[in-house]
Amino acid sequence: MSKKIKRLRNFNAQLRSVNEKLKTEILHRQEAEDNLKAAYHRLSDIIEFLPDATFVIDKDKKVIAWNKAIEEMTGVKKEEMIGKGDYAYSVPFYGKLRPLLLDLLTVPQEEIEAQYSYVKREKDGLYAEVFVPRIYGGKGAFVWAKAAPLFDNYGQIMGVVESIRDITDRKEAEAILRQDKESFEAMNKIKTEQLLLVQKELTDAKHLSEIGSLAATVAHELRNPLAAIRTAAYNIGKKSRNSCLVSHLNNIEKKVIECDQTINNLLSYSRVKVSRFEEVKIHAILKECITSAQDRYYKWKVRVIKKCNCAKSDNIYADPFQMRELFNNLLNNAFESFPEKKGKLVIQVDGLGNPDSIVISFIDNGMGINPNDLEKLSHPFFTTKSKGTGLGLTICRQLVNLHEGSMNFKSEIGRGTEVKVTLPRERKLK
Amino acid sequence: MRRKKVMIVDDDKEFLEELRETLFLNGYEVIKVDDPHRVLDLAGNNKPDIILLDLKIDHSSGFEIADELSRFTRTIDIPVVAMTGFFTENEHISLMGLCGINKCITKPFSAEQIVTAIESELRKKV
Repeated sequence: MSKKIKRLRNFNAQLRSVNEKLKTEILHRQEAEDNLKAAYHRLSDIIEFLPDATFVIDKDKKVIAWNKAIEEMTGVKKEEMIGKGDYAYSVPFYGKLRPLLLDLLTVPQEEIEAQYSYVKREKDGLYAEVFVPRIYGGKGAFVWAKAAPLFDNYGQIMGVVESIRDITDRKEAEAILRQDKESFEAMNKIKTEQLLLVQKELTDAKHLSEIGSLAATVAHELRNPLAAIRTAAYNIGKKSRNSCLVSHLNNIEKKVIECDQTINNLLSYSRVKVSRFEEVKIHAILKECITSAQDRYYKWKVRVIKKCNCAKSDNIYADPFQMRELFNNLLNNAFESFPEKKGKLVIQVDGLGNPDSIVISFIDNGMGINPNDLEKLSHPFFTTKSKGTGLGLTICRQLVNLHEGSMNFKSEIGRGTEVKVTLPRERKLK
Repeated sequence: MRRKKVMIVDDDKEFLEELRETLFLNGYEVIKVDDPHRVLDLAGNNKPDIILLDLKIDHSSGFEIADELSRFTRTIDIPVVAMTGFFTENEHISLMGLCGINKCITKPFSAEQIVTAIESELRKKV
């Protein structure tokens, strides 16, 4: 009996000891649970008052936290969302059930890349910038979102947290900046182009002013001796009264006048020009210039054909002297393009169908211009002729520019050249 | 009738000589001046009826000389015709007017042109 009692007592003692251990264990558990609860509350509190809209889902994708900021952003209260699963949390953002950033955490990188161009994986989670249409009462906003996993003590994923920040202001600022940058760049481009143009004009002007002072000096240096020669020839004629000398003296006089003419041309080329606009009978001037060119080249067998596709009374506003100079130069060039001193020259005036401008073309079937030379045509002093200053087309270009017109060349070696001058009918007021 | 007295001022000696001859052959009495600094003196003393003045002279300017001539009572009434190879007739016409230059003739001129110019100025004087 006593043996049995002894065994029972022993057993009882064992049970008590186990009981004690269990009590301690329960106590520990409770403590741990309390700690966990406290930790959870702390976390909830932290999440609740985070300035960024934030929510947390557990392993089963049920919402376990939905903070104040996200309530404001979505207009959906915490009570309506807590405990919900099956992507319910996406409705306030997109109006439909779909995965959000935090659902992509477990999706492999390649799949994300294939489907979401705006999602990036960073070392501690996913990052995205996206436009969300439904938030702020349907106004929508650009947001920055970050999703990160939450781990328990054993390193197991216990949930996922996503934080969302409204970056509409920043995006707008960026857009404005980009726009500003673009318009600034466009403006800059225009300014640069203008600057280059002015620079070119300056270079041209400098070039021309150099020609101008050179021409003036040459003019002076040549006109003085020419004056002496002319006067001397006159004196010889007067004093000798020898009729044999008369023709020689006349030749001297004639050549002096020719020299003077060349000098005058050179001066006129280089002088700063101002146009005096008036209503000009452009056809009459052209006809007059053609006649005088034919007189100058009277020995040449050049057939000149004038075509007119507009009313003869078609007048334009221009400087008549400058028009004459322009036509004379272009006609000279056309005549000089016939090495055999024969050919065909078509002068065509087109004015029909264009109320703003008139086009005058000089088309010769002369030797044509080498393509390499074509772009050098308007450079001062460029010439392919043995005789000539190389200023003719520079001046033509100047004169056309003064009239705010344009001048274009088309040419083919051996076939001929076409010079097209476009002149506005009216004076454009700046 | 007294020969009209023409003073010619130029630093080109050959031209001066030839012009003197031309004017002499056309009935003028001519005073040559190739030193621009003596123009005022010689004009004051010789009282020419008219002065033909080159506008671009070494170390001086025809504008200056004309301006000086127009400041002195002894020379103020002498008409001045500018001869120039440098300027054209239309250029600087207002500057010429300011300096008391009545007319401008461009080199190389013919004998007929210069005589016509002289005569028209002399007629204005009377």
